[in-house]
Amino acid sequence: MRTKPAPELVRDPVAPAEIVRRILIHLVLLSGAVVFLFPLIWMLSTSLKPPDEIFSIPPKLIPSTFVWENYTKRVFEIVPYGRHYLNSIIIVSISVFANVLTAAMCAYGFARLRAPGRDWIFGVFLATMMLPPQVMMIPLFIGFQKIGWINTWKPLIVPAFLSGGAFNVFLLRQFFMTIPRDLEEAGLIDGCGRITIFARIIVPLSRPALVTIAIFSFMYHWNDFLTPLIYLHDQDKYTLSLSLNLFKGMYISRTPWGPLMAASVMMVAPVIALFFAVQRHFVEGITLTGLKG
Amino acid sequence: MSGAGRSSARRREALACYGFIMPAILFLALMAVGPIIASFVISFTYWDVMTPPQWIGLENYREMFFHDPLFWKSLWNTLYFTAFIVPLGTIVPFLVAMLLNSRIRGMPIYRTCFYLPSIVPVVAGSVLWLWILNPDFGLFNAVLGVFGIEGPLWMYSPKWSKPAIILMTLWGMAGGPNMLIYLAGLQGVPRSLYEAADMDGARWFTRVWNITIPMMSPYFLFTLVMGFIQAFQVFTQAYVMTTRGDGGPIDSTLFYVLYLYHKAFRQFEMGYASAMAWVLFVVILIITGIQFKLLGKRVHYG
Amino acid sequence: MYPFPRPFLFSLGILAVMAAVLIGCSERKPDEGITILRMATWASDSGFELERAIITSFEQANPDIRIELIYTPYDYYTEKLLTLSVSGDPPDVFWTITETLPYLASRGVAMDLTDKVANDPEIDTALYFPNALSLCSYGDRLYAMPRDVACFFTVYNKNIFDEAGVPYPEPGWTWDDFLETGKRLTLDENGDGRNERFAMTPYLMDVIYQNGGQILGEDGTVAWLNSPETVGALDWWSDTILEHGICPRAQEQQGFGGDLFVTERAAMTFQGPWMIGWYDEQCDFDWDIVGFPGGKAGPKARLLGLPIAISPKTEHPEEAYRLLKFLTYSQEAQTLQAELGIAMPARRDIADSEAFRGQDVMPPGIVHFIDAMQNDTVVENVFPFYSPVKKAYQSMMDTVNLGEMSPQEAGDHYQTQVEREIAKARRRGLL
Repeated sequence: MRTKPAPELVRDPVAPAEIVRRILIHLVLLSGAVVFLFPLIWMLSTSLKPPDEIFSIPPKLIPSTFVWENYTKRVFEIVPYGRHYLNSIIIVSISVFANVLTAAMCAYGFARLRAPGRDWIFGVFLATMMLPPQVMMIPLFIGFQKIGWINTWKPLIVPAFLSGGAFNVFLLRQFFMTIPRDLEEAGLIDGCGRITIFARIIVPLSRPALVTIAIFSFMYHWNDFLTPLIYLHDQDKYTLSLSLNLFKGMYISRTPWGPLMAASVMMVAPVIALFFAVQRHFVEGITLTGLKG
Repeated sequence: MSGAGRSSARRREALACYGFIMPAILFLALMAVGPIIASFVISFTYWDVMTPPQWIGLENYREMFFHDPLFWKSLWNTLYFTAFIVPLGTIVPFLVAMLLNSRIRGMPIYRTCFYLPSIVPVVAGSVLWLWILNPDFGLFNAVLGVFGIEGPLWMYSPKWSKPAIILMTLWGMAGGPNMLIYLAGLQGVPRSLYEAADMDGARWFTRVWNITIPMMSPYFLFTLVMGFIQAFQVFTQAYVMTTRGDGGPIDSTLFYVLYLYHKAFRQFEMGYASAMAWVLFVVILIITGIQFKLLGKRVHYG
Repeated sequence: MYPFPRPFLFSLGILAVMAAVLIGCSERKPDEGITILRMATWASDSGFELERAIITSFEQANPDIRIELIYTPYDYYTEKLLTLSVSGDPPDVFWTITETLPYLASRGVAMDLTDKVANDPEIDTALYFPNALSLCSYGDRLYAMPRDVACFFTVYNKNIFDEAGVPYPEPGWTWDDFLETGKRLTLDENGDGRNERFAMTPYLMDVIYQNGGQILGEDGTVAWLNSPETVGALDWWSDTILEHGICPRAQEQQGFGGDLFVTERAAMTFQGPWMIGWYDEQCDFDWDIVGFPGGKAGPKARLLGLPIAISPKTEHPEEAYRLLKFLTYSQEAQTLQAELGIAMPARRDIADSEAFRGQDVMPPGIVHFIDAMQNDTVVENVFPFYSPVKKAYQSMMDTVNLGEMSPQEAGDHYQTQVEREIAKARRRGLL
């Protein structure tokens, strides 16, 4: 068990040296924040620039006119961006749902139910975290080819129903182990089945951990590039990450940077929005499910 | 309860358990163990998927180690990347975490600012940095120009293309998951330890060195191990940031997995690519083993 | 208290149903009596619209066939095509990149058309430009039909030539003339050692053919990377860059932005006919066209083109062949593509007519281009294992261009690499 941070100490009268120290920290943090955010601001700024200002030297931060067309029209003309966006949403929603559901099932089984060989299976399962996915990539590709799944969404979606890997299950299992057993036993005495207990007791109590897994899973599937790259071949089926790569022209000077940056902004926006929406749970979920547990 | 009743209850529990962990069992069989064995077998063949496989014994491995300069080049590129990104990806997030662990006003905003780059999808980050690092009209060289420095060609120069990718990757890592893990760890360091040190009048640096770092060692071990594994898998940045994703200029960003991808899905040499995957697997196993061996003893489990 | 708000779960459920429906719908259900052919192309944007126009005219003439165009970016075209083929769902008809045709043929991805074309009384292959069919063949079998053909030529900015008092290049000019002209056009106005204007945009393609070289010998068993022809060509080429500075090095393009020729920072460029429309739109100066400067083998230019192939797995071989013949041979489509300014038709009788050379955008020098197409084209010797060979050749050029190795060193270095590829191809039965 980890020791909890000490409660906030009673505030001392602030010494001048302390004020200087705080100002210094603020300065360092502020400049750091600017450096880190600037590329994103630049992305936003480029996405709104008219074509000739994109290449202006020296670069301009604020466009003279805001070209909203990049968002409303150009993006959709260059590639079927709307279609790709919808594809991503569909694939990612199902995958996240599948990941969370099945990871929680596995975690519950590993945390609470006894069976011969369970711990052995869990150990091997955990060890797969160290496997580079590339080792599995080729046999999986050939396997999916044999059953005719290439150029469909199935290789992206169906495996998501296999818990999404050891990391998710591990985090959830750690969390489930902190839930008092009494609650379950009370349920068992009331004659509830395991599924009822899982659905009515465990899942509702694990909100922060499940949200954390959902976010990890969302980010993984939203950002995934290699899997769609290998399996999707009709442009109609592409996901967002493949879509962005389509904008790059054969000649770098003819890449439509404005619309490309608009497309990037639109791909990043949901991730950032989600992050803000669940920020509280997220940090909570991580700290509660720390490494040493 | 009778003995028979207990054992049937046990059997029922075991069945329920297997039911619940079925996805994990299927995952192991279909997505891990099965494919690993298959990939080992495939690595002894020449197979383009379109025509039947030919059994060629160790030839892929021989070819790889003794006759394929691109294999060594891709390994070298990956080691170069790893040698920079693993230490930088450990130290920089740690420094950021230390800064973000101070108790000052506005901390949630700062944390968010540092964290945002890490949630930007790698594809979006890559096209963004391709643009920022463009030698003709990119922002980065323009800023350097203000200070009278003529910026390098970045992705157009075999010398600077790897640093460009390291820079871009570090931008996404500095405030990312590693930083969060350290932050969680830092918050778990008992204040009583610091207070004892304060009474000794220990200076800040000594305090960090003697208390914080040892207390954080399990976190470092975890991030180092995962960092190596991830660094060896660098792919998307190079694929998106180079023309046709070919790892140019002059193969300077042809990372191991990118080369593996070329072999498998451009040249359709599934056997050779599987052999490469196995070598990668073994290299990662060895490095991870060494890390546990060297660092495991020094790790302080609180 | 559920971990997710109910509406969220609800919407997930809806999306799941939508996905199931979409996946279900993606199985094609053709109408009665109508054949659907899928054709893979890399034409994008405006090009896609023009392709569509040709396809529409085919559909009007053949109401029993409907065409679906599949677009894949050029950069990733072959890998996607191969994967589609591996997946058992290949397009019925597809564009091919010439360098990959032998590989596609040897892997059974492209149908052997030799007999079909030979026995087709409607086709007179003599109407094609010379070499156009070699571009579509591997061994002595025909695996595709040519739709477009082209080669590179010289485009020059007349204003810069006038201003510098240099005579325009004329047909029959040589490497020496090129060098002489180039030196007089290069300009360092402020004397800082960095040229403000170059004679030429970066180029590297056709010099080895003009010097009588090839990357591989005719039967593919010999590599010619360090042959006197190749090394001599690279020597000459790298001198124009590194010694005479008439063409920018990689490092020197920095800060220029955009196309050097269009922005008048280079007086000449080597380009193909597909750029004519764009130059007509973009250039604020007078320009014209002339053939390549000749090396010791003459003003040779590598023949480029667009072979179109049929998948042997197609369920509609007759319909696919009708489409292929329409696109690559019919008067109607070949004329239409010339008029739409898409590309130069593979049929020389149509290319050499008003439909192509009479267009408004064409400069008078277009006749020199048609001349070159008749007399000076060379077909690259291509084999199934060509992709790693071409990659080695690119790396060799880059290495020389960056001044990291001399042409001889680079030739020797990459020669061994390519020889290993040849040996490997032999073992694998690719040769």
